[in-house]
Amino acid sequence: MKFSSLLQDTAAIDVFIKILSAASRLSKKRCCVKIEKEGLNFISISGLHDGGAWFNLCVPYSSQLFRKFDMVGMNPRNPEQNFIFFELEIDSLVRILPGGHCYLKLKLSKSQSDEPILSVEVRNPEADIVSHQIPITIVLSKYWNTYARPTIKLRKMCISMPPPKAIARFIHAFRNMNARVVKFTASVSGDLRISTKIDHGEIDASFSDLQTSPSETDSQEETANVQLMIRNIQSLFQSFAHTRSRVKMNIISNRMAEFNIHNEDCVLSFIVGNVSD
Amino acid sequence: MELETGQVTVMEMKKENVKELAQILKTVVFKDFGMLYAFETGLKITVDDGAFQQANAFLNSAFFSDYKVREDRIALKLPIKTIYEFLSIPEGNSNSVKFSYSGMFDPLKLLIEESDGCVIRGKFNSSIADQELDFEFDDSAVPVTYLLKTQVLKDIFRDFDDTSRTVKMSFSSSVICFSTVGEVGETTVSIPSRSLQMESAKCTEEVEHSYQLSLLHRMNPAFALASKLILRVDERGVLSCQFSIDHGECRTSYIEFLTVPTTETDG
Repeated sequence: MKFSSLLQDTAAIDVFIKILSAASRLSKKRCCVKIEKEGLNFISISGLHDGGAWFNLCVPYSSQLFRKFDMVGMNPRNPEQNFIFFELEIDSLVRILPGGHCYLKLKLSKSQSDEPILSVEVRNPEADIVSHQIPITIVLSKYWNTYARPTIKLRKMCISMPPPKAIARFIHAFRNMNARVVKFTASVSGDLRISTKIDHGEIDASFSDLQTSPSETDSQEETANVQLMIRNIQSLFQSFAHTRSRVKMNIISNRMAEFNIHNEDCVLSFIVGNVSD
Repeated sequence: MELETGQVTVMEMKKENVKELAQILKTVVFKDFGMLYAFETGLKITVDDGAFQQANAFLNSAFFSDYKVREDRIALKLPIKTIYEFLSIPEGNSNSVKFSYSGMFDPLKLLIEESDGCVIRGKFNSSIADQELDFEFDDSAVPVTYLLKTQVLKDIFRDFDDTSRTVKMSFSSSVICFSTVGEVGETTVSIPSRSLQMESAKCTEEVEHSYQLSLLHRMNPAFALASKLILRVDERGVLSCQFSIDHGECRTSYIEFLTVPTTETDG
């Protein structure tokens, strides 16, 4: 197994740090990293079963953030097994990268006591290279399935969402009003309602003329509803509020919601379960 | 007519540029609930803490692009902090908010329309207005009146030593002094009446009163928004601060804070 990568330049390092911060906010403490030929993925360790959310934040090599990206997986001869999976405390990585760096290298290595580590070399302009070692736990291939995307066998409605900044403002305001849950209602005609009930009233926001995706929508319903915990999705929209991202939402009525956020640097898939009143 | 059901309303108004309203509300929402009084001439929003301080925001009917009040004595208790959060949602200036209330403690309904087509609806429960605190501020017995610019005064108030529980204010016709005693020691800031910040000073007797710093801090958002302030103290030491907020085109709104002084036993 081998992994060595070098970020392109200062601007790319800044973008990468923002992606790391997003992964850190979405994760509880630990996070899984999956390395493949096409790029790097941050995957949640917790799943939907404990009222949480599953996510996969992918940084593809095609995003052009990396100047160098070399990897040799656990079982390189088998393309189905040419991956590296490891777990780490994502916050440890975020903490050592406060920003302003002009050089960043990430490499899989071993510590002096022969433990696997993620070696991080970082340099600020006019300064020397600083090396860090972050302990990691390599995951054996027989456990790789635990990080797999939850299968959504049920039918869904697919709708494009307004920009993440707009949604982040609503979620933030709802949170300030002490709301716990937010309800999303989408219709085939391209209307989306985001609503919540609070102690002293109720709020709802309506958007219309949104693009629905008839090819991706396979549920036969006119409208789809799902109710989510605000604390599960607040960091999601906050992390992408200042990016030019396209957001698509798949609603499996009263069961779960999937948010897919795309921008030029990364792709996020986020699945969260419905909460009943 | 009510916004969507066609029911007759007891009051309805429309305001362009929601931010202007949100900013004013921000200056008085130091408690979760407040009272809304609607008159033919405008709205009054009152918030008090039950004992030491009361804030009133006065919005003239000209502040709104559309203003109709069809009944006398409309007095509602509303969750104003939540309403403020609601009004802070839209960004930019090209938006508007419509209010409607059908009476009988129906919910107050708000409708925000943004330029991009987004529509935000809010329904807020109303109830009977609480008994308002009456500070009995006697306008005829006011020994101290100053008309000041807020420019420098807002920084003075914001920068009072946090480790001092009270601020002592001494008023005379030649100078206002603000003193604090905290961990760093004693600090005094003075504004002489000849200062450009002081537009007029009238003081019939020299007086000195102390006020709790935490109460004065509640005025910080008002200081930040307003351009001028009339500061008065009555015979009992009740401090009245009347802030005027200029919206341009000769439209002005007013915020008033009434604060009781601390007594020897409180200090």
